[in-house]
Amino acid sequence: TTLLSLAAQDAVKSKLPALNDAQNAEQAQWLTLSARPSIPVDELNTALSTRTYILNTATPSLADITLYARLKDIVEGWTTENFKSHRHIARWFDLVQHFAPLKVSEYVAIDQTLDVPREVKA
Amino acid sequence: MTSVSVGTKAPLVPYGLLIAAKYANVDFEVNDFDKVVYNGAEGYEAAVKKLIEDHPEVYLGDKSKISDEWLLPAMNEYLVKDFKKLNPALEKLESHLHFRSYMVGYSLSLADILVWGALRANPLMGSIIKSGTFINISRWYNFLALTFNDTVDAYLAAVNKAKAATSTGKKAHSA
Repeated sequence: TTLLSLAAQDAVKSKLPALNDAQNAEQAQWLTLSARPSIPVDELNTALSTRTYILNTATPSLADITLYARLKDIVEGWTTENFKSHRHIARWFDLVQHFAPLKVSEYVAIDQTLDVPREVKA
Repeated sequence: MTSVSVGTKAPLVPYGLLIAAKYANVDFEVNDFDKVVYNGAEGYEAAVKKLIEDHPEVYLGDKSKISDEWLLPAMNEYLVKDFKKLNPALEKLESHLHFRSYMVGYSLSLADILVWGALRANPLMGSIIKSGTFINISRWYNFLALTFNDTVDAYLAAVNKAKAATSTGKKAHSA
């Protein structure tokens, strides 16, 4: 929750991208999902396979930052196998935690050179 | 002020050079010839190298110049129009992007610009990106397009303007 309040920081807020109607609607859905007791990681992983940031923006949106804050404890506990099976979340999480205005005291170490098999389009 | 001069009859559009030039605040102009020239350096590879030499700020977030490893591939492997030769280069890029959102580090750098520029110029790539066969490449490419398409559009507009001017000129001449 300290992390969630990060999204409210002026430095972060001033950098949030402008969203169109479709992005705003989708953002509302992700914010709802992120508030649930159990977060749908498989669904999130699939969504992030085709998008660098969750709403297809050029910089992180409130949805990215909120989901990141929500996932931090979970990802911290991930094994190498978890990283491999949720490779798109791992990539995205690593990107968001390096977003400049976020003051993150502890980065979750993510190995960019992990060896995974080539993913074949479903 | 030195600008990039792009020949509209060149076999490939030097998008990587044009995008890098934008980050160096170097303008471009289009001309009715078949090569690209920047500050006396002729040809895509020479022009890119000259621009980097004059404007090292085009490395952007890549302070360690790791982008250098991608310079030659971007000017050769990713520009080839033979799929058998292009494919291993794409496999390499696909695997590089498994856990990376940008080519180097966590922000835009010269490697993104040059490799993206090569793929944008390569006529084989449109359908490959659309098909999503290389899922990481498609994601990375479409993401950077959000930032780089302005330069592509500016180039295409300049070409159209030049062509319109030429045809008007011809009409005026024949009339």
